[in-house]
Amino acid sequence: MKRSRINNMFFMVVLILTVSACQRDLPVTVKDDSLPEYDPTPFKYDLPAYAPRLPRAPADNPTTYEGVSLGRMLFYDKKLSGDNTQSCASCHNQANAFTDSGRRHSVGILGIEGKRNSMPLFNLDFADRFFWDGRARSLEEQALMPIADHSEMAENLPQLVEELKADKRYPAKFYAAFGTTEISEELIAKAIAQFLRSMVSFRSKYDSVRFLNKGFFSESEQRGYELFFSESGGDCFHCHSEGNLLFSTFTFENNGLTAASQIEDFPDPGLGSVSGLTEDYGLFKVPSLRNVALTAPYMHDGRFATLKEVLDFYSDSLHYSLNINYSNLKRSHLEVGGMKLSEDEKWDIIAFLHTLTDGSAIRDSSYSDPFK
Amino acid sequence: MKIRIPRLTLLTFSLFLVSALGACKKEGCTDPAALNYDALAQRDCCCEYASTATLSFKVNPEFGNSPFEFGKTFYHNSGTPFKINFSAFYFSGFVFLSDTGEVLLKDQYVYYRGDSSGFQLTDVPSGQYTGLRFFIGIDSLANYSNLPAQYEASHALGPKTPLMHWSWNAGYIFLRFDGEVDTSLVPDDIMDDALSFHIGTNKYLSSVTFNKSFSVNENTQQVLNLSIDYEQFFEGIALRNNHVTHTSDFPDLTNKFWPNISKAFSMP
Repeated sequence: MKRSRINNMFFMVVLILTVSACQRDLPVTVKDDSLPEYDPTPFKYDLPAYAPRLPRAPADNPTTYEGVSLGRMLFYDKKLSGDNTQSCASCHNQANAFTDSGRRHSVGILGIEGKRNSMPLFNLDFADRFFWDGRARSLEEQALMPIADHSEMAENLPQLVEELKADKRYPAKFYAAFGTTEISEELIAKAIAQFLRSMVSFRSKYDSVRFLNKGFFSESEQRGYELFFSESGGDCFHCHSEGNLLFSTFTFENNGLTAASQIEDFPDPGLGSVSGLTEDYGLFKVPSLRNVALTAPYMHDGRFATLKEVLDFYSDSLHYSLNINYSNLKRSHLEVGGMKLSEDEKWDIIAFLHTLTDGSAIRDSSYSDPFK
Repeated sequence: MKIRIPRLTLLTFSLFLVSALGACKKEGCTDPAALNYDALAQRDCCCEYASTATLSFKVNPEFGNSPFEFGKTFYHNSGTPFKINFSAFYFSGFVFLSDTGEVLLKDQYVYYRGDSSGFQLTDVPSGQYTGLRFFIGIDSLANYSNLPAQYEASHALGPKTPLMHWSWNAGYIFLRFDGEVDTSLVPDDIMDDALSFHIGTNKYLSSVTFNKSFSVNENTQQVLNLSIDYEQFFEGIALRNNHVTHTSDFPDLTNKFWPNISKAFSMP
């Protein structure tokens, strides 16, 4: 009898301890000024086990749910353009892996057509330079560039800050994300960077077959997979490497689009326009091939309307050009104009490329328009 | 209705059970990595481990007798001028040899950028050694098990730029040399073509053994010297006409290059 009373007491103590442990997770002490305590929640990526580990966000802009939520709102808000008619999403449509719905060049609010093709926005945090020419060194640096660009959203940034201050929804969102209601260009950039960083895509058919042993490649897809990795086949993998699971080395390369014997021959100098270095002329960022079937047209200038045109190019139309990296693109291939693929081989590689499409990412509601 | 088992019975029974189980199990160290590992032991206790230390390698990259540098023009012994603009190697499977046997250092991989001045191995068991053996390349298990993305970014086998991994079926590039070569019949030091040796696959895993006595202990910092002679890598290769192989595309050149690999490494 006595023992069971001790047992009961012990049980009670454990119960109390457990309950009090739970209470620690409960929010929130409210401060005098009616704003809740600034206590953002670290963002957790929903990534499959085989996915690469994300590089960490910069120390001064850790990814949080509050920051991502604010960034998402900004991404879809037309206030971010000069005449409030375009948002980031106007040229980065989720259904097209955040490219511009098949357009070769996007048209800004002033009717100016850009010269490069809108880039897909998944898995961005794996690269360390952004845009086709690598002009931004971080997502934070990248975020404001299209907003301020005269040929794109043509917004006056100080004016944007005022517009957001006047919108009742934003000061509280900024407070939740950054602990201040003081809206600034820097914080706008940080929030958008957080949203971009949160967008990941690693659930394609390729992933299922390769890592989850779910389903099989069709015969054509399998042949395409092998050709992709064969030096005597498509030889795609030197630049579009599988090793980081992103199908890109994220280096800058000249893929033989333009015959150039001097730097003046490049209609668009690419990385050369950023660095000014002769050896960087004609180099462009190697894009990830994840979701590539959704991101037509192709190349930095969107010159190829279809993947078939891309394969035709690599098969037969490569040009000798300055600054080609012959460790990646072999001279023996260039000498004969390309990889010399048969029509069947091209279609096999295209079939494989379609296995890199991630249907869940383009439908993921956490990346979609919050105003709808 | 609840069945009540008298408390005393329950207590006695549990005590009996516990002591009975304990009696069946031989106590000893169950960790094979420990010094006093007992293969018959079932209940773990009292493992004793060897002390370990960090072992540093000071690497001396040379070309013949002059210091090796990326981007510097060197002259092949056939007279052909060439440059190496980038190189990197993997080392793995370190085995420490001693009079009493061999100690394998498990799961340590070294990514060595070809012009750097050294690397370190950690958790090397203390001891008096008579030699050292290691692979230039990656053992077959690790070569095909994971993709680089599945390692931490800082891991030797994680993603590298430039690429040190081909694909799931070809595995890692064990040695990578990228450069340029002067292919003129009369050399003019103007580089006309790319040099690219990417060597890998199990077949071309090299192993080197050095007889060298050294000791490893917790208290003193041991440094071993390793020389890499870039002249040796290209010994006997007609570089003017043969300067590209990615292993399987030009097997003749790969077969010629392969024996040079182990000769390029020495421990003075």
